[in-house]
Amino acid sequence: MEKLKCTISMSDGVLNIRLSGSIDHHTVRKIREEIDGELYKGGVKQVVLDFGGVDFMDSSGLGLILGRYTKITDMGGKLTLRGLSDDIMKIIKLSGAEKFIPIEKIEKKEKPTKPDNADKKQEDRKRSLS
Amino acid sequence: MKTKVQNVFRAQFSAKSINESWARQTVSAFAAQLDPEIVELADIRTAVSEAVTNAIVHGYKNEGGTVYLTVSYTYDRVLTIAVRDKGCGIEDVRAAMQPLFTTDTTGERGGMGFTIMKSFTDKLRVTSRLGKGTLVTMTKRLSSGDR
Ligand SMILES: Nc1ncnc2c1ncn2[C@@H]1O[C@H](COP(=O)(O)OP(=O)(O)OP(=O)(O)O)[C@@H](O)[C@H]1O
Ligand SMILES: [Mg+2]
Repeated sequence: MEKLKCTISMSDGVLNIRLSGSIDHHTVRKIREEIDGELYKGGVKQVVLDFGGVDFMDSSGLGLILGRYTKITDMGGKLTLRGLSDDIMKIIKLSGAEKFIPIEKIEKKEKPTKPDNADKKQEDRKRSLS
Repeated sequence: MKTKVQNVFRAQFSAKSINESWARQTVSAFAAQLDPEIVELADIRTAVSEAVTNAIVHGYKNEGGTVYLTVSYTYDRVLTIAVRDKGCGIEDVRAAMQPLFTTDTTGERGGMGFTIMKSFTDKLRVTSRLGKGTLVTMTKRLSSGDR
């Protein structure tokens, strides 16, 4: 899964953006334009950026987050991040953005914790090496 | 102490953004020969993506050129990744490597690329000459294979 897709829905002033695929400098532009297009339609009080389907992100994704944060805040809205994997979280923490951008906790069923994750990891491992 | 190189590959490719994913996946596939941890491979992919993107975006200012990639590993599992461009070069490397430093003016770059490369590998070395280009070398010792 290398392409980046986004599914956007809006209800009661909350713009829900679910991203899936890989976020890098190449893929981020189209998504940024799509998101900004929605923002400029107006009436957005809150934006939820959901990274649940993102399998790769580099600093271009961080740029996407920080850029949207500035835009949304300037428009008087609020940005929340959802579905951040450990890999994405590592990058966000390096920048310190977690101190000013609210991050939703991942629900249990979406991201299993250690014990039952151990097996899955082995499987992922086999798959990625085959 | 340095041990002998066990395996090496070299590639050169157009400085086009579409090659960013190809580059990181190629290096990841090569490093996977050492059977590293999943997180190590993920870190390698991210670090490569940063270096290659910088060459394309900053070195060649999105106007194209050639990116040179050399990856090797030693018998004691030290992976070395070198990304070189013959682009504009960096005026002050030390300043450029500081977290949040960016020459980008669009507000869409966080200035975190070098910080990510540094944190996701064991060692990052950057040499650059204005008008000549930039060489980014990263080394990472992969966890022992006998698991
Ligand atoms: N290969 C290169 N050639 C010329 N200049 C470079 C190169 N790599 C980095 N730079 C300079 O160093 C600065 C910092 O790079 P770094 O990757 O840390 O941040 P960025 O690319 O600006 O933002 P981000 O990586 O977070 O998207 C860049 O803004 C650029 O000025
Ligand atoms: Mg960069």
